[in-house]
Amino acid sequence: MSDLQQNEERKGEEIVSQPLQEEVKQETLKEEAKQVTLQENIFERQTLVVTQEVKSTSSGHIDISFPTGEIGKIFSSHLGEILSNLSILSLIVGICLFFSFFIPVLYFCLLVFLTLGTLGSVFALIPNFGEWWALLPKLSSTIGSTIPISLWVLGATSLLSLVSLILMAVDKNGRSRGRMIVTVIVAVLSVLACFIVYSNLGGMGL
Amino acid sequence: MKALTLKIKGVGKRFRPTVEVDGKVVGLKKNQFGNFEARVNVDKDKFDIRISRFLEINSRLWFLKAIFYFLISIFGIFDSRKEKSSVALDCHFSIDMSSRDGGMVELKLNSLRTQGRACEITSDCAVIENKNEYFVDLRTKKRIKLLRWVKFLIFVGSMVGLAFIFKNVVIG
Repeated sequence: MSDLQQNEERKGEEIVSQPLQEEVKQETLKEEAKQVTLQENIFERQTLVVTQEVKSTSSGHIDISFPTGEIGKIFSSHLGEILSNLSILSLIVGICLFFSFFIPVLYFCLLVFLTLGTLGSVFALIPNFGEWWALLPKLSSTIGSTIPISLWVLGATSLLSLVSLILMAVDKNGRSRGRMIVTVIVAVLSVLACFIVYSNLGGMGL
Repeated sequence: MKALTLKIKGVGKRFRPTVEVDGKVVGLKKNQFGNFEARVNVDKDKFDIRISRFLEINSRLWFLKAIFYFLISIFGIFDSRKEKSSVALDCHFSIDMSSRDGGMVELKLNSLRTQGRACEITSDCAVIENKNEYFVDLRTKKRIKLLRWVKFLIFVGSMVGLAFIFKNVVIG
């Protein structure tokens, strides 16, 4: 065969193969489309499986592995929060104890008000009203002994708030900024109150 | 090595998520907006991510810890972290990072409920959602119930004890 004949045959083959190639392309495209729909179906199946699993595990339990260090941090921040709450309580108690010296004064004011308000007739209305006056020195002495206790309570408050601050600071992920600010305020107030009470006790010679 | 940035949004105040990448626990950091973030270096193209909720009541020595908190907080009055909800979540995703050097996965948690979808996921990688659900953890529920009874008994016992001491020591 001459070269010209061979070239013509090749051209003929190419002309024949072009529509064939297009058919092949179309088939591959169809196949790809089928695969996509199949994948979509698989995805649908997967979602179906998920919904079935939701039903089956809705009353189960999953074991979660959690770093031991993190558990320790959670423990310390939890403890810190409790101590912070207790420090707020003890600050209130300490301040109330310190200001309890007002109670005899208030009691005295009440008695004076009752006496003057009723123009002395209260003695006739309440036969043992004189005993009420007699209670005043007793009350003063009792209340006077609580003031040194307030120093201990306020000291404990400052210690509690400091410890709680340290414990809360350990857990970076779980700490609450608002609570920490409150605890700092409690610590500062308790230290200040301690100084005030201590100076007053010095003045009273206790 | 491929770097994956993982963000978890919508995390509640008392919610501690745990993330496992191919079974290994990943350390999470809280950012300034209160969301959790993690940067994970992965060797493989395809890997699994599992997100779950950590409850202190499911940790080791849970009973002793709960009683300790109860007593130190004066019968739970000053305890601000009482475990009431037994809802847990289980999210399991397969991530394909082939033909990518890095990627980002962002999870937005839905509000806690007894069942339903736990989170919505957005990512620039291919993600297959295997599991995404909230469910009631039965073990946690049982433990919460048990603790409630134990705490009640401790409270009643200590009240009776205090009354006995008051009667015999203070009055008597």
